[in-house]
Parts: sequence; structure tokens; C-alpha cells
Amino acid sequence: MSSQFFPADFLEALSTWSQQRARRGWGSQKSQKPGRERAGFDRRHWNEGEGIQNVDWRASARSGERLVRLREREVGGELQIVLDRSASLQPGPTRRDADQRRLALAWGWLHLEGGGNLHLLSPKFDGKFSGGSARGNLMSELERLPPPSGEALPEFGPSTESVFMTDPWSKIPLRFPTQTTVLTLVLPQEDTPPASGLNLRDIESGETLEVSVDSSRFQKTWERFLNRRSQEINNAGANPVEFRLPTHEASAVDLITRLKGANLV
Amino acid sequence: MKQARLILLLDSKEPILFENPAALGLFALLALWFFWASSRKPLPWIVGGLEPFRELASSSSSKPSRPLSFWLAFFGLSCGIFAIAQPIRLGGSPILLWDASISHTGGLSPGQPGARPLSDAGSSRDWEFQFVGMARKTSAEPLLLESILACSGSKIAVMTDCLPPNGLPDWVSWYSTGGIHQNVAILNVLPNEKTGWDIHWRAWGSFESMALFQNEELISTLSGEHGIFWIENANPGQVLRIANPDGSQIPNQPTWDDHWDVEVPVFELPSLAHETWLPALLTFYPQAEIRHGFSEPPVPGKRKVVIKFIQASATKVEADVIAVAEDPFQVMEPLAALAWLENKLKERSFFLPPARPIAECQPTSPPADWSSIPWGQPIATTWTFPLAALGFVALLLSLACRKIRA
Repeated sequence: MSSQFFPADFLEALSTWSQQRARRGWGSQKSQKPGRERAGFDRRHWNEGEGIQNVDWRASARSGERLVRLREREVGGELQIVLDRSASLQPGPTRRDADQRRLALAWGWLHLEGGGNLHLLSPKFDGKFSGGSARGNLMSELERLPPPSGEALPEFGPSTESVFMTDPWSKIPLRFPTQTTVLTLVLPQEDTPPASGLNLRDIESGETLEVSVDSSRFQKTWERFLNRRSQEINNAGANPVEFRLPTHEASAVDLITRLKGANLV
Repeated sequence: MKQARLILLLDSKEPILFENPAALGLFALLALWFFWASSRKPLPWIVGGLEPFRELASSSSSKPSRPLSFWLAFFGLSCGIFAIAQPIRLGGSPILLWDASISHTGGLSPGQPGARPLSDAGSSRDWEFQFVGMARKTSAEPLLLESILACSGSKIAVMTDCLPPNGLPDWVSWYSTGGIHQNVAILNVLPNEKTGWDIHWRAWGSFESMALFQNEELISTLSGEHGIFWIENANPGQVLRIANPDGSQIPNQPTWDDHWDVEVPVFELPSLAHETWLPALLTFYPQAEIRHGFSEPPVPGKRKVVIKFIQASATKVEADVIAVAEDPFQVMEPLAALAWLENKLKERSFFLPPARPIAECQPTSPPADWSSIPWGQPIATTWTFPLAALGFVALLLSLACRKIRA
């Protein structure tokens, strides 16, 4: 059931990805997110030189060999996806609004598939989803979100994990809840505006500014701006991540590819 | 017999020609586009925030610099306009044919004071000088025609006194002095067979009065169309001249042939020549300069005659040499030897200045008819297609730059 924001090829790629996320090698690979592991029920032989504090003595006594319990990643828990729906998310005819919805669907979908719960939060929506069957509801709610407008940012509390999907222009609060990742979605035209005379208009404040953009000088200025922002996010206790969105002509499937490559989910 | 010498002059700077020069007016439109593009308003651009742009606004210049795509488009349009104008380059360098005959030059070379200026060819180019050689034809027109056909493929300018022939192609420009309509001339000064000198003169056209001067001293008036005037002495350094009785130049006619500088040769005798040679030569040329031996340097401006005792058949005798097997004043009687010398001097009167050719002095012939000559077209290289291709590529690159920028 494709739609304007979620075309069929996007949903198919997302479904495929979800199926490919098999539980491979529990305990045999380094966890991508240390700190979210616990001792599991599988065991392996104890290696010479390894500390004895991880030895499962009961299993060792039963088998006659020293055994260590494998660690496995915690699944489940609540993922909180917070959407910045201010006007700066969509300065003109760009794809950031659609890509934000797609990223929220992909992330939420995979988390629900993994057995977790999802809390979706935006200035005009606050809803929770659980179970695999909730994917359809999630998709419907994301479809029904009104276009970006205004300046208000949603306030959110702590969760097992929070992802705040925003643009480079949002105000950074003094403090973020713990375990928050601030995913800044950057448009290609924000990275490289036209190198000519521009009459700029801030979509939220309406302020205008006439400037002549020199590519090399703008790159330096833009880099400094993003670095300052990352520092602010860090200081506010969150993890800053910049995510480059595809070009306007690219398909929605390209987003899945980029999300896979970013190893964020 | 008119003798003509031609000097081939090559232009060191090639002109650019256009088949369709009116197309160059399109540059006015290009200039309008240039100023319009410069005065266009800035591009409206909506952003989520202004912070990173404020720094640029504070330090950037008021006028935005034009991007590469603009200059590529400008270059492409310029090439296109030039291509429409169809520039051509004629094969080879433009050539100036300089008629070096005395009727055109008066004996002067290009660039010499008093010579006809090269700028008469309608250009102030620095022509490169090349001498072609003596003509072998009886008139200048055939030699000029031969040279024009030999240089076919280049734009040619001809500077001559010949009148412009009929049927000239458009890539030949003819710069004539207008030719000679009337003239008086001293054609020759020869020793009289008895004594003294004969001045041969001729007049074409009607003149009120003519007079002959010897060193600015009026010696006789002249009348008629031609004549031979006898004078007793013609010494080296003397100038004979035909002019008005008051001494002024006769107007409306070439003046180079109105005067004659008297010359007497220098005789070089072998060192073993009999002593009678000296008085014998002075008998015929009292003012002659006699030298013994061949070691002395030549005297500029004087014609030298060398007398050699050689077997004439044994070697090629040069033009200004009197060759004899034995010294006649040693093997002959004095009077017989003297008679022999007189005959030799009369035979070989080359040591006197050559006669002025009547063909160079007489009025110019009517224009030749070259209507039937198959001229063809000069070879020209067109630059239209290379310029059009270059302009097209530049416009494509401009579009590509704009696409990349967008």
C-alpha cells in the first residue's frame, strides 16, 4: 500500500532490509552499542588468559569444562522518535519533509519488528505503537502529519532511546534527555547553495538578506556553523549526527541505502 | 623596348577578412546582453536560517562576481557571431608587386628619399622586401601578369606606372601613377665618330620651348620631336640637362630623364703593357683615368674597363674586358695598333652609360586587356566551422556548469 510519501519501492526495500536483519552470531561480534548488552543463555569455552569473572561456574561444573556465558544485545525497550515540524524543515520545494517521514517510518518499523515499542512525538501528534501490526498505523499517522509550519519544537522526556529528527536551523535546548541522538537532516542545496547573488529569506522569521555567495568561502562558513551546532548538541548532553539527504531527483530507495550505510539503526 | 624589373614585397601582417562583415553588428546585441546579465536582480532563495550567510554578507563585495558559466556563455556567443561573419584567411601572405622599371621608380628603390611611398598601396603595413629579377619581356604588363598568376592564392597589390588592365580580378588591387603622357628625355651621350660628343634627345608631346644646358649654362634651344646635338667637350662631372630656357624644370613630365651625368671610364692596363697605351687611350678619352695593374680599389661611380693580354678563345671574356692575345703596341706598327684600339673602343662602347630605353621614356601604353585570363579564385581558409564548433562547445560547458551549480 504505497502512498505519496511511501512509494512501493521504498516499502519493498524497507521490508527486505527488515528481513535481512537476522540475528547473526550473537556474542561473536562486537556490539555496535556497548552498554546495551546482558549475559545471554549461549555459552562458549573459556580462553587462556581471559579473566575468570565471566566464567559460568554452574555450567562449567555440569560440563567439566570452563564455560563463559555469551553476551547478547538487549532487545525491546522504547524508541522515542521526535519530529521537528517547524517551517525551517521545508524551505521551499525540498524533500526534507518527505524524507523525515520516511526515516521515521524506517526506524520505527525496524524497531517494532525487533520487538520494541515506539513513541512518535511531534508538535501536533503524540502516539505509541507496539507489535508488528502497528506498522500500518505508524505509516498512516506519518502520512497524516500536517506540513511543517511555525517555529515550535516538541518537548520530550527521557526514554530508552530517543532520536530527534530535525534540520540545521532548530534551536538547541539547554539539555536533552539521556540517550538522545539529534539527527540533523541536511539538504544538498544547504551544503551547496547557488554561487551567485542571492536574495535570501528566512522562512520562519521572514527576515531577508542579500548576499553574493562564493562557493569556497561559503563552504568554510557552513562547516564552522555545523561544527558549532554539533558542539552545542554535545554540550546539551545529546549525540549529534549529520545525515545528508539525497538530491531531489533521487528515489526514496536511496534513503534506505544511505540509512544502511550510516549504521544508525 | 620597355624593360621592367619587379620587386616582390611580402606583407608581414595578415589581415582578417570577413565574407559577411554585417554580422559583426550582432556584437551590439551581445553587449546589451552583457549589461543585462550584469544588472539582473539576485536570485530569490528561501532558507531555514541566515546565520551562516551573515558572515558572507559582511565581507562580500556589493556586486556579485560572475560565475564561470557566464563567461563560457559569453565566449560561446562571441565565437558564434564571428562564425556568422565568416572570417577567411587568404592563402599565403598578401603580396605587393613593385614595378622596379625606371619609368615607375625614376631609378630609386622603395624607401629611398624621393621614391614612391609604399603607403600609396592604401596601407601602412611594413612590407618585407624581396627582389624578383630583371624582366625578359618587351613590356611590363606580361611580366606583371606572369607574377600575378604565379602568386595566385594571395591577395595582391600592384604598384606600377602601367595603366590598370581591363578584366582584373577583385583580389588584385592596382595602384598606378597614371603613366606618362608627355616627356622630354636625353636618351644617350655618345662620342662623335670624328670628335666631340653627340647628345641624343627626344620629346613626346608639345612644349612651348626647350633648352639644353651644360653645367647650368645655356648652350642651345631645342625644337622638334627629336635630334642630335653636338658638343665639343663632355668632361666627367658635367651635367647635361634639358629644361625651360630660364633654367626651370619643364613641368608635367618625368624629370629623371631630363639630365645626363657625363662619365668617362677608368682603364686598367696590365703592368707589362707597352708605354704607348697611355697616350693612345688619352687620345680618345683625354679625361680618362689610366691605371697600371689590378691591385687598386675600384672608384665608386666610375665604370672600369680592364685590358687583358689573354687568349680570347681560351676563356670566357667578361663584358667589361678588352682581351687580346699579344700587346698590339709591341707586335704591330704604332698606327696600326692605334687603329686597332680605336675599333675596339668603338665596338665595346659598353663602358659608356647605357642608353635610356625609349620604351621607358615614351608615353605609357593603353591599358592591356586581361578579360580572357582564367584567374580562378584565391585560395582562402575559412574559420567559420572551427569557430562555430568552439562556440557550441563553450555553450554546452556553460550549461553543464549551471547544472552542476544548481
